[in-house]
Amino acid sequence: MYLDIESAYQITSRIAGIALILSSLEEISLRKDYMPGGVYDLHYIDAALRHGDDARTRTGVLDRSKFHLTWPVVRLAAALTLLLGPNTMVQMAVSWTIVALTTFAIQGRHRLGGEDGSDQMITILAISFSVALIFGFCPGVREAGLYFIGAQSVLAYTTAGIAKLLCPEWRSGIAVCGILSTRSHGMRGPAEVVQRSRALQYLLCWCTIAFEVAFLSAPLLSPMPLTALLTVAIIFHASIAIVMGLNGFFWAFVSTYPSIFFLNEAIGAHL
Amino acid sequence: MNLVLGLLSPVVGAIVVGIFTTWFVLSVAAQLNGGVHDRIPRLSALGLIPRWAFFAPRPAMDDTYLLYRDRHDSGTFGELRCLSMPETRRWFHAVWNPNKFHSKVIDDLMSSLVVQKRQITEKDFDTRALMLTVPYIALLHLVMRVPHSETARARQFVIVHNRTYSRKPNPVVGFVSEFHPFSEVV
Repeated sequence: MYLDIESAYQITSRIAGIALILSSLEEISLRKDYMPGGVYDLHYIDAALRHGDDARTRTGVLDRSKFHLTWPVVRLAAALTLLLGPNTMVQMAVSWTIVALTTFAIQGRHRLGGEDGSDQMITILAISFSVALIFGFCPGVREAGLYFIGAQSVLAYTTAGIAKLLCPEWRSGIAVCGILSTRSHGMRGPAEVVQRSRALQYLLCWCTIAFEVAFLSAPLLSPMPLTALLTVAIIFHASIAIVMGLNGFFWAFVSTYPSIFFLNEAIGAHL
Repeated sequence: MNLVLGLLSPVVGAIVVGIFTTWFVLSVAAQLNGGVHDRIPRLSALGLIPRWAFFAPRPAMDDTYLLYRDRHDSGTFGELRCLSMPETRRWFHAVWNPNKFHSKVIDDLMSSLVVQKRQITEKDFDTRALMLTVPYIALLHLVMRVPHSETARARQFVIVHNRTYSRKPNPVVGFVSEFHPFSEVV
């Protein structure tokens, strides 16, 4: 076995810790927007709707102005322990539980939107790791937590690949060019380069589809091809962070790779 | 105590493993059928049942701009002003990019508004019902909080899509709201 269970949890926690630190600091920088009178002050929306629902209840409990700074700061502290702490199983259980609770609290103020796939992965990671580590004394639970995250990551890439494969804009090669031509997710220089070459547009779209769909085979690959696939994935996420500004995806998804290795190892042992 | 733990731990373990298995099966089902999210709205709202189709099926190939204009007491209209503009990419966005959140909120609200508008049309409701939806109220709130001149009586918002870095930019109006008097907004 090239990755034992404790190491898998520790490596994942350290990488995800970086994602959580960046995300928490970004949340802290946006705190004024959620304060009373801020751009996203949810009380205006609730007052305008004047009806009760779950989200409104959550706003009342979790979204009080004094907590706008508290939740991300507490999550930042837990993230720092995951990155820099000894990462014993007990410490990780405590840290991940705090991360899970504060993540839910922070989510309450994102009711209007704004979260992306990296936030989804971090939420799922936080809940599953806290459950797996709290009940880690039960047989099979720690392993199940890693299998679950590995499988979610494979599902994420494969779904993204298949969804692109079914989409005419991706198959015809115009999607990457279109995305790069936006100010939100693009960059003028690379956009101009891609706009000039139809072949490059086609190549970028089909490489993205092929690489993402290839993740379906990740649990079954032998170590070398799997390492190659994950290396390509790291380069893919790094380029997305630079060109598209989606900084959270890199750390959130790379943190799941130890779980993919662990899942691959377990399946390999049974084949 | 140890005996109880010894007896209980396999049972608890099996339950937790069962929860993980069910969670994953639901996640797979949600990718195949969008209706799964509607059936378990609480879990979906918490982000526990993911949507993994990044930039698919139809990728966002336009920037979404939220604009507004005022109607003055003389009956004339002010010029269209842009409320939010996505930031030009900088090298440090690879590490630090909190402002991506603002353009994502506008994109999400606009997507949600389109869905609500379609549902209202499909159900043959009064089209004005759109003004009671969360995305409409949220977008209205965003523009209404911008200070206005003393002569301004009402404001409307306009959503414009544009492929900013395209060689042939082609702004398209995606949505135009009603005019809303300033005094009537909460």
